[in-house]
Amino acid sequence: MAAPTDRFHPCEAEKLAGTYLELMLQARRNDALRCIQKAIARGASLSDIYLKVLQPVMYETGRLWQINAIDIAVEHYITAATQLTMAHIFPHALSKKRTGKKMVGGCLGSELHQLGLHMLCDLFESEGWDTYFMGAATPGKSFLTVVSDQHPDLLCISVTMQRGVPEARETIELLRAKLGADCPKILVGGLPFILSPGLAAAVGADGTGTDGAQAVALATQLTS
Amino acid sequence: MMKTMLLESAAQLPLPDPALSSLLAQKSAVMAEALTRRMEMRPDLETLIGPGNRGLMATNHINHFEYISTLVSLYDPASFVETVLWALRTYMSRGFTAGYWHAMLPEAQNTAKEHLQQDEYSRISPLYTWLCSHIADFVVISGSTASFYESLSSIQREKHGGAN
Repeated sequence: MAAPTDRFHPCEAEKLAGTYLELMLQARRNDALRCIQKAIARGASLSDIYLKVLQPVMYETGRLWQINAIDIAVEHYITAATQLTMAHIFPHALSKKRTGKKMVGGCLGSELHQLGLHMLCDLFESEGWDTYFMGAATPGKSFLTVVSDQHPDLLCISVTMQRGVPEARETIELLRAKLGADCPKILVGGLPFILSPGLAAAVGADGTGTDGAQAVALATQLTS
Repeated sequence: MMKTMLLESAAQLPLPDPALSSLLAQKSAVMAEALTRRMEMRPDLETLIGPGNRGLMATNHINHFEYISTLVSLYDPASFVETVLWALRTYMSRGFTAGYWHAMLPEAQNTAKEHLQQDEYSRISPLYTWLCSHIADFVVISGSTASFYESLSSIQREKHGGAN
C-alpha cells in the first residue's frame, strides 16, 4: 500500500490522461498501461481511472479522428489498447462487498461503439453489482432473450449513433410489452442521451446518466 | 447567427410525421445513389469535395438520408443542429468545401421530392427548407465553433503528427 504522501490524488487525473494519450499516440501501449497500473498501486480508484482518465482520453481520440488529425486505424488501436488496460485493472473492480443485484448491458442493433458500456459494466462491478456485458451490435430481440434468462434488476442500453434512438424505443416497447411487471428498470446511455437527456423518457426508459457514476447512482436509487 | 439561435430556430420547426420514417429508411439507399449520381454530373465536383473524396461523398449521402429517416422517427432539434455542425466539421477537415454543402443540400431536397409522393415529401420539406436556408450560417459557425460531441473532450490536444 502506498504511503500517505505517495497516494494518488484525483487532481492528478488530468495530467495522467494527457500522459496516457500521448503514449498511446506514440504506440507505446505497454508504457501507457504501466502509468495506469502505477496510479492504481498508489490508490487511484477504478472510478478515478475510468471517468477522469480513460473516458477523457477516448473523447479526445474521437475528436482527433473527427478533425482528421489521426487515422481511423489509430483510433481503433487506442480503443483496443484501452480495452486491454481495462482488462488489466479489472480485478480492482471486484473488491467491494456484493450487493446481490444484477445488471445486463448491451449496445443495440448496429451499434459498434462498446467501450463506454464496457466501462459502465466495470463501474457497476466495482460497486458490488454482477454484470452481464453483451458487447456490441446486439439485436433488440436478443435483449428480450437475455433479460428473460438472466432476470436482472437493471438493463442498460447503449447507443452512440442517433439511428439507435428509435431502435432503443422499439426495444424498450418490446420488453415492456412482453415482460410486463417482470421488466427490469431500464437506463439508456450514450451520446444522443448526453446531448438530450429528455430523449430517455421519449424512448420509454426509466432514466439516463451523463456518466457512469451518475448511472450507477441512479440505478441504485431505482432498484432500492 | 450563433449556434443558440440555430437551436431555437430548429425547435420551432413543425414536428415531422414519424409514420414516414420506415418509408424513408426503405428508400434511403436508392435516394443516396440518386443524389450521388446528380452530384457526379457536376463538372466542378472535385473543386467542391477535394481530390480523392468521391467515396467519402457517397458515404455522406447514405448517412444523410439514413439520418433524415431517424430524425423523422424521433425529432430532436439539438441532435439536428449538432449533427449538421459535426458533419460539416468532419467532412471539411477532409477537404470538402462550403460549396459542396451549398450544392448538395438543394440536390438532396430535389432527390427526396422525386422519390416521394407529394404528400409524403410535404411532411419532411420543412426540414430541408430550414437546412437550405441556414447552411450559410452552419458554414460560418463550423469555422469557429465545435459541435457538442467535440466539446466533450476535456483534453483538447493540439493536432497530432502534423496531419492537415
